[in-house]
Amino acid sequence: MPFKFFFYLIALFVLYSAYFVVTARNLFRSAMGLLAVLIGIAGMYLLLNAQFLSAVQVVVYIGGIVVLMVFAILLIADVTQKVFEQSPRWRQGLIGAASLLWFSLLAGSMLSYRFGAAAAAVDKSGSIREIGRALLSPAAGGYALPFEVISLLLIAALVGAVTVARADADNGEGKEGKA
Amino acid sequence: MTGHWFIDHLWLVPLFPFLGFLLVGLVIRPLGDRPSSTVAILAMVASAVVGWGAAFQYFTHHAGETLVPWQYEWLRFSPTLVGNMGVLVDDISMLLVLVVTTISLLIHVYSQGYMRGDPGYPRFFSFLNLFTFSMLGLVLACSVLQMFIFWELVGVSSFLLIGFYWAKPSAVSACKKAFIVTRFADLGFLLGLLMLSYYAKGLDFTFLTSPETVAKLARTTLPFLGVSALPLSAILIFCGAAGKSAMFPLHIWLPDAMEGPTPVSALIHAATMVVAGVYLVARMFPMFAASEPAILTVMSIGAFTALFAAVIAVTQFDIKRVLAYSTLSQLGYMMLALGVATLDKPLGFTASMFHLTTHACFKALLFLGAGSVIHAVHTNDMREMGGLRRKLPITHATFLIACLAIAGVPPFSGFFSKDEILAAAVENGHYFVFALALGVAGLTAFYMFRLYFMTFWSEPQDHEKYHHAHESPWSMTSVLIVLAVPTALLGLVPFGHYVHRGELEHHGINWLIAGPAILVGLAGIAVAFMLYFRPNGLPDRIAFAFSGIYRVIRDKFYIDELYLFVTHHVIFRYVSAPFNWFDRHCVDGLMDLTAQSALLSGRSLRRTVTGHLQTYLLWAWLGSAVLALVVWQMQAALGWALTFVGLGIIAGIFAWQWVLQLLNRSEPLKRIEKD
Amino acid sequence: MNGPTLEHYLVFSALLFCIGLYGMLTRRNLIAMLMSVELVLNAAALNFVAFHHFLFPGDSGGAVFPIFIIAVAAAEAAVALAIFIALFRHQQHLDVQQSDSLKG
Repeated sequence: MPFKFFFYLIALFVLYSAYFVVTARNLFRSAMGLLAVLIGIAGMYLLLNAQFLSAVQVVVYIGGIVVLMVFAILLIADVTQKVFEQSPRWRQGLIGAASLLWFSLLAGSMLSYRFGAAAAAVDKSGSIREIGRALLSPAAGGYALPFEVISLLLIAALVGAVTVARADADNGEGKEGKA
Repeated sequence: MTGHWFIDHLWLVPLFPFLGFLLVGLVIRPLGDRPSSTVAILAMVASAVVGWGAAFQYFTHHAGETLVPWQYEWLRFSPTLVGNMGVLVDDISMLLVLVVTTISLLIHVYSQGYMRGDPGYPRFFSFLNLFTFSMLGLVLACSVLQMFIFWELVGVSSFLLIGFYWAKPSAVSACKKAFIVTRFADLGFLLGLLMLSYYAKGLDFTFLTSPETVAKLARTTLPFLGVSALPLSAILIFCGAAGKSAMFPLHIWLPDAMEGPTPVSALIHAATMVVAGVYLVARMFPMFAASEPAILTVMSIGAFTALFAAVIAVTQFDIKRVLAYSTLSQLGYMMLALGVATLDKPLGFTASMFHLTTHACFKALLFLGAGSVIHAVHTNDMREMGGLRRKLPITHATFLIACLAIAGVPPFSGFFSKDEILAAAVENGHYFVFALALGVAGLTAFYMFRLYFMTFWSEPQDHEKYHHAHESPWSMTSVLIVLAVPTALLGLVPFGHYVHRGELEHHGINWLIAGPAILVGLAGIAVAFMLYFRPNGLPDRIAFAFSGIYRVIRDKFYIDELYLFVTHHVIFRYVSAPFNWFDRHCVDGLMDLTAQSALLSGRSLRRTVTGHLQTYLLWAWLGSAVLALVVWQMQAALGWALTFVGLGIIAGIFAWQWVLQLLNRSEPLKRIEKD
Repeated sequence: MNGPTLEHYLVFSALLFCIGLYGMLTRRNLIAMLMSVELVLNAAALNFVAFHHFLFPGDSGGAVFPIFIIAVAAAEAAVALAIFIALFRHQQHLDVQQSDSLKG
């Protein structure tokens, strides 16, 4: 009973925050909404007995990505006064209806499908030890290769981000100087 | 291998002119005139030396045999059908090698003088070498396929040389005419070749002319028409021969081919290339001889052409055209001789080859003499000449010898070969042909001496031209003198001893036949003497008296006009025009339709490319929805439905375009340019 | 145990996904769009964890995949934000519905 209660509580919190993310007129508030959503999802992970993931979610997602976004927002937009333009109403309505339809399709198909029972009596593997093994074992069922590839991707993203943000620097300064 | 060096290396004979062609055409041409002609002539000298050596060895050691000293398997169509390239040595090929190398060499030398100062001088020599190469390849061909290839090469070099003065519109149209007419005739050759290869299962001459093959072909009945394969393929091949040798319905290109430089006329359109048709028929002689309809076709067309061309020659005033019609007439003679020959009494075969050889000499001499005259007075019109004997003594003397030879006056060469043809006609019982040939001999004597008297005797008609006339340079006159020797003496060679099919009973001159021939020839000369020796009004009065007939003959029986009518008013209007319409509206229409459809679909699809990020997202979402639908409900019906929807869209675009096109509202190309 | 079932999580994540989709298609600011993308990614990651937890507890894949998703999201955010900054310098706004210079 308490789990279910927590679930509904977190779900409501997350959905409300998510709604806030996609509708808030102020970008900074949107970012705060995202922060709330991610915290809620981390709570969900706890409910699902995935403590490590929950920690990663908080540390990397919230501590890294959201902070990055907030920086970007502060860099780019004048948060205090600007009210961002929104799509026209007809468009919001149309896409909202389509999304609802899509949701009903998804939910309907998921609910109508009979998922089999869990292979019972197996040890839970969400522990840090299991994840660490899985990530670093090159054998079948291990994820050493994707792990390395991800590391490469991260380096590439790092270099790419710096390059892209800097590439225009000279020109940009020139332009700003002119302006 | 025969152990005789020249025969074994006979492939050098065509190779030398080919190398000469490449060298002159690609390397030496920029170096100037003198080196070009020197290289070309050296190539011809080498070729002639090998050719003469091989002929000497052949006639002394292998006379009467058929040898293939060198052969290369070029194309293997099927295990039995093999296209060989090689060298075939027998009496007629060696004879032709002698004629071609000798005449070609002489004409190379002559051209040095005749073409001097011409801007295309090196080009001319490279083309001459190319032609000689092709002609020798043709002569030595060991298979019909090889002969066909060189046949076309000869046609191309003839085309190039007729159109040598390509800045002159008349030369351009003449070379096109020659090429198209002979090419059209070659269609027959090609069909005959295909038919032979299909029914006889072989392409080599030695195989095709063997009695077994001929008998097998004669037994083969075609699936249509119910005729035997032999006469039909023989007649088809004769089509090609008739085109190259300018026999009656296909003769129209030869007189126009005189637009080329005079040495070309002498080499290609008198002495060598035009006899290729005769040579082809001679090569295939066993096939023709075994089939009555084919040999009769050869005979009748030859006889008719001989008469027809001789009649036209009487009325022409262009010196080269008279000679061209004379060539036609003599070629008809050769065909006629082949046509009267049979396997039992093959005198006509020998006579034809004999006449081919003598004709090559005296006709080359006549053309070169005419070239010398033209060189001197710069006109082709005989009415502007006259009295030139005092100005051009050497040309005059050699020309006279050639005229006597062609008129059949003993002891000049033409007398013997013509006599042999007449004898062959009589021997095989073709008395009508004999009478006709006799008449043509008289006409020949008449028009040749008409030409001779008008040019060299009579009175100078154009005094300015007469005044400036001068004898040609040594390089030209020496060739005339050299050629005059065989023209005068070749008849004394016991020709039948060397070139024959089957056994010839040796016979001397039959004076019952030779006598009338000589009389007729002398009569022709006498009439020409009376009419043209001194300028008088008699020819004009005769022409006026028979003005109707005269005009028809002078306009060459309106054959050209007939061709024009057929091509312009029949073929162009009723065949080409519908094809053109079909091409414009259906083939091009389809292309337009495709282009239009691509344009239209592009124009409509570009609206989906809005540049807005969210549009693309929307499309991706829709696409995933469709994919989900497909995965969820994968059934054949759905697949078909999607396919039909796609095809329907394409068909709709096409239909819309079709409607636009029918309403003449589509101009895709312009729109593309605008975009 | 009377806790939430797999279906609860699935429906919840589907809803989150659709909200994210809605945001991606209606927000006019690029950063806001990026945030909607994060919602979608989280919904997907939650599905992985839920399936792992309820159906395949012995298989570590379901636990590892969200980590990859987070890593990819981090990379994506870094590059995307760099691009946004460059773009903002270039055209002084980040309105997707006004940027159509790639229009065909």
